This record gives sequence, C-alpha cells and structure tokens, in this order.
Amino acid sequence: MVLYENNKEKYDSIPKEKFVQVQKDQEIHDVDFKTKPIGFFMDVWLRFVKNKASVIAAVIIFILSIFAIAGPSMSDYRYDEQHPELVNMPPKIPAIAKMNLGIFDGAYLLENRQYDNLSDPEKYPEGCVLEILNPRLVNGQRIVDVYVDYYKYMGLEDEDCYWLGSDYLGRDIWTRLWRGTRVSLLIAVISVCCNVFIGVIYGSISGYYGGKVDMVMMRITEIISAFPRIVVVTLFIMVAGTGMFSIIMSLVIKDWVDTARMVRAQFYRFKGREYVLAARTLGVPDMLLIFRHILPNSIGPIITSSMIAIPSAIFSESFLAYIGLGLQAPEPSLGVMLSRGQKVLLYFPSQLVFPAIVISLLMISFNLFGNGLRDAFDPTLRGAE
Amino acid sequence: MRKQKKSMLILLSAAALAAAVSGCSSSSEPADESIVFTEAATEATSAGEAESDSAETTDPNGDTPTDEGYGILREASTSTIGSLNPLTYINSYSSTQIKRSSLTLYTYFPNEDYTFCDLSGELAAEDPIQVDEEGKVWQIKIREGVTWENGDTLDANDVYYTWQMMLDPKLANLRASNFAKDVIEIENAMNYFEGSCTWDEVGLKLIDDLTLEIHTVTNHEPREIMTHLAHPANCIINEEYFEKGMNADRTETLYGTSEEYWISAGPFIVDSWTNDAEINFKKNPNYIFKDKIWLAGINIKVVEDASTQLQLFDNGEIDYVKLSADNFQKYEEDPRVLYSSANSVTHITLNTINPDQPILANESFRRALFYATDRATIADMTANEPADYIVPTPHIIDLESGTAFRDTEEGKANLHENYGYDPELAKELFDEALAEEGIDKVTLTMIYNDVAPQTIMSEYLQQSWAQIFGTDKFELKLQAMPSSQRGDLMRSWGTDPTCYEISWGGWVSTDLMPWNAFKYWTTYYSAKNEPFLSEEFDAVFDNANFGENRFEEGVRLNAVAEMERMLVEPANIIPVVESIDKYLKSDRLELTMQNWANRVEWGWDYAKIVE
Repeated sequence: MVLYENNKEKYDSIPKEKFVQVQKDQEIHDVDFKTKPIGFFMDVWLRFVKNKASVIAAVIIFILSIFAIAGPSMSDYRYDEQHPELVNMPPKIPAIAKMNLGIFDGAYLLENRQYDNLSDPEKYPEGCVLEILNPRLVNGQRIVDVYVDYYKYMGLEDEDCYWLGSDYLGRDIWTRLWRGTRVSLLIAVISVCCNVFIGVIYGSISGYYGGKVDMVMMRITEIISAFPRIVVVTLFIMVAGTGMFSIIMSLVIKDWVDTARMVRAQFYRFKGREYVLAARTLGVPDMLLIFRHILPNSIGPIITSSMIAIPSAIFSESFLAYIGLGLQAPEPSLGVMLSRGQKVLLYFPSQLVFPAIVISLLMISFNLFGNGLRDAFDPTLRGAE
Repeated sequence: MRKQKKSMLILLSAAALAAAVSGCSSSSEPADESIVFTEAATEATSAGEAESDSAETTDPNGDTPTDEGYGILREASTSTIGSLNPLTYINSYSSTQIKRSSLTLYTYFPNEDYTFCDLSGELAAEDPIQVDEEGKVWQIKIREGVTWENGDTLDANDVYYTWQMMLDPKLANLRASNFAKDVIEIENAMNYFEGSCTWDEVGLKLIDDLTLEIHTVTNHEPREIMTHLAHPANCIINEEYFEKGMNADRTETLYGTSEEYWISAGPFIVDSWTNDAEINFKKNPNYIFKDKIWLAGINIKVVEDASTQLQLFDNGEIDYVKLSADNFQKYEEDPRVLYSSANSVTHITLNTINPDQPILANESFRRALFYATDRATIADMTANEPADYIVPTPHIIDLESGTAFRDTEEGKANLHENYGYDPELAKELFDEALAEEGIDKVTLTMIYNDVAPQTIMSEYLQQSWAQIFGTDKFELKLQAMPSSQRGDLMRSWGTDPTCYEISWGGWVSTDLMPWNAFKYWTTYYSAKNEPFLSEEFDAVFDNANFGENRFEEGVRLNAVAEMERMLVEPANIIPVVESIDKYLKSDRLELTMQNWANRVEWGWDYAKIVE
C-alpha cells in the first residue's frame, strides 16, 4: 500500500484496459529448474573434489593400498623367507644402479677395515671395492674405511638384489614393507569399524533415550576414558597375548567411546526436530526412529571422524609394536619394522627410512583426506561455493 | 622466498633419502700403495697401546692411589639395578653394583702382575682356620677397624646378622638356598630356613666381635670356604638400615631399594642414586684395600639402547662400551676391540612338566630340537661362538695348571660333529616323537626378550625348525616380553606348570669351579628356570662338590663331564651359543689388567683415568 500511496499518480495514469485477469482461463505450472538437482552425497563429492590436497591424499591412499595388496607379490621373496647369509643388505634396484646416480646401487661403507685384507680375494672379491677412505694407523695397523659393492662383496651376481635391502634375518624389506602396510591398514580399518559399530549403537541409545539411561551410559564411558590408555592396552595384551586380534581389541577397548559421544551429541541435536516428533506421533517404533530417521543425519560426522581415526589407529599400532607389544614374529607391521629400524639406524638407515616414509605418507594422507571429508560433509558449507 | 624455502625443503628431504639408500657411485682402485697412513687421533684404543703411550706422559694419578682417587669412570648400562639387597638380587648386573659398595668376607682381586685373579680375605683378616680334624669346623677372623660409610664399626656381629637374615624363614630370601648349600653346605641351614629347626642348631656361630665359626656338613678345603663366602649374595648388610626398611610382619624390607635404605662399606660409596636412571659411586677413603683403587668414582647411566650407548661413547660421554651384535659389524676388523669370554652359554630351556605340552617331556622330541638347531648360523648372525656344550670355554677345571675344561679329553668328548646340527637325525627323532605321542602336529610357544640376540635367534629357529620338521607338522609361535617379566614367569613353574613352554636361559657361574656351576640344575636350587629334577644328577653334583673323594685326581673332571652329558644328551636344555663380549674403551681410561682374566675380567674398577 505504501508503494501505491507513494506512486499514486503514476499508477493511476495507467489505463484500466491494460490490466487483464491472467488466472481466469489459464493454468499456472511450476517451472523446471534449469540446473540438475544435486543430492546430499553429490554435493559432498563436488565440494570434496574442489579440495586439491584431499584429492591428492586420496590418490596416495589408493596407491599405497594397491601396493599393500599387490606389493608383496611383486618381489620373488616371501615376507618370512630368511637368508641368514645375506643379512642387512643395502637397497639395490638394477635399473637405477646402472644409471650411476649413487642411490639404490647396493653400495655400503665398511668402517674400520684392515687395509692389508683388501687384497685378499676371499674377503674382498674382485671388483667389490669402490673407494678407500680415511686411511689411518690404529695401534700400528693400517685401517681404512671402504666403500664396497656389497652384493659383490657377499659374492652375489649383478642380477641378485633386494630392492629396498634386507633385514637382520636376510628377509626382503620390500615384501615386508608392503605386507606390513597391509597389516597396519587392516588393523586400523577393522579397529575403526569396530569402534564405529559399538560407538554408534551405544551413542544412539544413550542420546535417544536420554535421562537416566543417558546418565548411566555416559558415566560408564567416563570410567572407561579415565583409565590410562597404555596401562589398559598393556594389561590387555599381557592377558590375551600379542597378535592382530589383541592389537585390534586393545585399540577398540577405549576408542569407541569417542564415537559414542559424538553420535550421542548428534542425537540430542536431532531428536527434538519436528519430523522426528511427527514420526513418533504416527507411531513409528523407537528402533526405526533411531536408525532410519535420526542416525542418517550423523553419517557425515561419523565418516569424517572414522577417517581421522584411521591414522591414529595406525600410529597406535606402531607405538605398541615400537614398545615391543606388536604382532607376533614373523608377521611384519610398519610399527614392527620401525622398531627394529630404529635400533640399527646408524648402520643400516634404509631399514628405518622406508617404513618411516610409508607411515608418514599414510598419516598425512589420511589426515588430509579426513579434513577434506569433514569440509565436504559440513552442511553449513552447502551451496556456499 | 617462499618458493625457495619449499625447494630447499624438497632438496633436503631428497638428500636425506638419498643418504639412506646410497653408497658411493664413484669407483677407484683398491690397495693403492700411494695411500698415506697417518696416526689416527682416535677416541678408542686398545689396552696395551694405551698403557705404553700413557707411561711416557705424566700420570695425573701419581705413583700410588690417593684417598680421594682420580677421575670418574663413566659407564652406561642396559640393565637397571632394581635393588642392591644382596639377599634378593636376581641379575648379575645388580650383583656387580652390590659388590662395588659392599664387603664380603673374601673376594677376588687382580693378582700382583695384573694377569689373573687372587682369592683372598676382604673383611676376613686371613684364610679360614680349620678347627677340627675333619675339616668341618672353620673359624674366620675379622679385620679390626673396618667401618661403614657413616663411621659405625663393621665386625663379626654384622656378618652374623647378615647370616641370620639370609636364612630367615619369614623373609624367605631368594638367595637363602644359595647360601645354605652351594660350594659348601652349612649344617642345618636349610632346615632352619624351612622351619624345621632352631637358629641355635644352625652351623653358624658368633664367637666374639672378631671371630665367626662355620660348621659344614662335609669336610672342605679353605679355598672352598673362601669361594663360597666370596659370592655376591654374601655381601654384608647393615642391621640399622635393614631394620629401618622392614615391614611390620618382618616379611619384606626396603633395604637396598633407594639411597634412604642403603649404606655402603665396599670399595665405593653410593654418592647419589636415581632409581632406574643413574647411580654415582665415589671412592671409599676408608676401604680396606683403598690402595688398589685409582678411580675417584663411577658414574653409571641407564641407557637401554645399545646404539645410543655407542653414540655416547663416540661423543666421549662414556669411557667404555659393550658392542652389541648389531654394532659389532662396524668394528669386526678393528684392532681396538677388547674381547672377553663371557661366563655363560645361552641355551634353550624347556618346561618338561607343562601339562599342555606333554611332548616336551618326550626325550626324542627334545633331542630332535637339539639336532635341528644350526648353531653355526646363529653364532654368525649374533657375532657369538656356537656351543653344543654347557661348560663355557673359560671355565678352569684345574686351577694350578690353569687347564680349561673344554681343553680336556673329557670336555672334548662331549662335543658333537657340526656343533650338533644334523637335520636328518632331527627329522627322524621328531617323527619318532610324534609317533610315540600319537599326535600329528606340534605347536609350541617360545617366550623371549625383545632384544637383538634373542629376537634374531628366536625368529631364526621359528623358521628353520619348521623347515626341518615340516610346516604342516611343527609351528613355533613367538611371544616377546620384557626380561624381568619373562624371568618371573619362567621361575613360577613350581606353582603354575603351564607358565611357559620353551624359552632362553644362560647362567653366569663360578668359572673357577665348573663342578659348582651346575648348581642351577640341582633339585634344591631356589631360582630354577626349568623343572629339571634328577636325583642322579644331584648325586653326581654332590659327589663333585661335597664327596669324600672329590679331591682325588679326575673325580671332579669326570663329574663335570658327566653332568654336562646328563643335561645335554637327553636335551634337558639345548645349548646354542657362547657369548663373546666385545668392548671399546676410550683413551682416557687406562686398564691396569694386562689381559682379560677370570672373575676380574678387564678390571674396570681397578682402572685409571689418565686425561
């Protein structure tokens, strides 16, 4: 009315004939959207692919997973195949060795060697000595450091090689590395799935029913949280012994609490919404309300927290292995390999470096991937870009 | 700028990776005569070299040791001390530290020319005096004027109190049986410990403030009495501090668990002590033999990782380091390395009474394990010596001639071809054992310490045994655990026969009395690792140690050979390797010992600091 009052003269000057009653003999239809409709998951996907770091992380995870599956069968050696005569061999990849880049060529520095022994072909086969360094007299004896082609030094042919070297029992590090990655990933994924399964059910019941049920259930989670993790894990492993099952259980025993709390919070957020009240009014049973109507709203945070929990589980497994509570030999895991590699870091650094690279990549990638998912699932960002 | 930083980061990462995987691509001709060798300014040096060099320079120690001593010996230890209570200690490392700060009646010193050891009185003023004609009653005279760290008198009353507490039935000390019956058997000592007689009936008497009397079950020589009383378990305890730490029930004491509950009287005094981390000793200016000690003190840091220890040594932060199997490779041709025969043989111990694994009681099966063990390969991997025997190489059977048991015909007769490795015989025995037991497959669990030699040996055996016996018929599971936990678990076989199946063992024993070194397998030894219980074995042991004819020529030699056979032939234990300890020492540390010797070894406590 204000608009008319303000423009009265202008509007009154329009001839009445120009006004027609459009609804009199016409039907009005909704107009089709010119863009394609986007569902929740498509929206998540679109926002996820815009995050370059997360996409790269996903690709790295995918590649590492492929290697974890196929890597052990790419080498001629089994993961537990011992060659006691070929322990602690340096990395050698023939194709790279031929390029003379100074890496992966099987060279190794033998320190504190008797110079006089260098001419003994039984100790130093022909052609194995690459360079003599640091000649000195020690207690009157001629001592040198010698760079050798370690494979020739050990009497092997040029074709024989361990791509990433061998360990203290002459086992192939390449095969063990990928087998270890597989084991570490398996432990992480299974433990996270268990955490989600327990945490979702527990958190849903606690959050949905609330009141005394919630109070009791949450106090139980607080009690579980109050125990120091390392004590619980150590006791569990001492009682149940080491092994994959024990490690998974020791990771589940406390970690499900976080998932339960997160799901409970989601339930508190959604259980009072109108659509839930409407469903309840219509007589929908509790279980259906919980799992059909409320829980799907929590799917985003659950997936996100699960992805972030995976590197944490890998790290925990590695930590357990590092302090000697890892898998039973000869099964490798990244933690087991790191634990051993650290002890010989000064002499055979490759035994630490390769598992360290893989675990670092896994940790970074899963964290970036998790961050990307979190942003993608965040409903407040929907349509923001 | 930011791009430059990124590039630098990438370059650094690549360099680190390349360093890890690379050797050296350039090649040059070896054995070039034009190479000039100059005297190296090395951190480490050998014993002999250091001595001759240092003799030419001024010795800051002077001609004789002063009351304060000179220089601190810096050590690193992989073991923690736990407790300094001599009545309850478990590992040999603890006993070394107890001995450093305590007195025993008799002890081993380097001899005059520092080439061997001498057994002589420490708190005792002289050798034991035979009182009766048979040689069963002995008196020991105590030195006058000996004091504790706080100036209190240390005399026969302290020794007598130590004996009372050692055998106290309520305290039930781990070392009680060790004291009651070892080289000698003290009259009624075990009976008192088991509560079947009174203290007055025990053959330990206090005659006066400076005289003690010992009544033994059988006749002995003075050296046997002295050897028995030189054991670290017989270190004298202090009544005031021992009682201060005692609980109300008198079943436990805190003695030796911290500085508050410890008082020293030995060559060194505990100056400061942080449990499981660091302990500092200083020279005891009132020590009876202070003239033998050059050092002002000893600092020991607990550094569990062998590589870290080597780094500390390279950085000049410790004065000597024991080389592990991993880091020995770097020094295997180095003339500076000091070698010493370790006083034990690492063996596989089997719980033959485990009801879950009745096959462990089967002799054919145990022998199959014995013959399936490739000791030469294991020794190569762990930088040790293969051993198919139990009596270690340095054990001397005849002290006068210095003959080692392993050099005798009897000792050699116990050796096996190829160090006892015979896979075909092993398989034959294994199949025989399965047939006898009526089973198709054996699955055993081996518990081991998660440290280099045991890890390597266990994992190697896991596969090599399975390959010999067939992976479908044999499986060895491995379970790593800390050393102390494993030890407790193994020793609990008496109360829980299922506590373990197979594991590792190795006893440090009396290297000058190999017949006594078998005590660990007698039925009456209190801390047995395995349930080997044999009256026949006890009889041979008793005859060698306490028999009337034991001094006759060849009796002890034959007994040692027989006891070794009784253990090894039926594979009651399975010997694997004999450890060879390797050390590097710094220039600032000058050893007074001319060579490694039994009991005193390289004589670290008698060394000098010469910087």
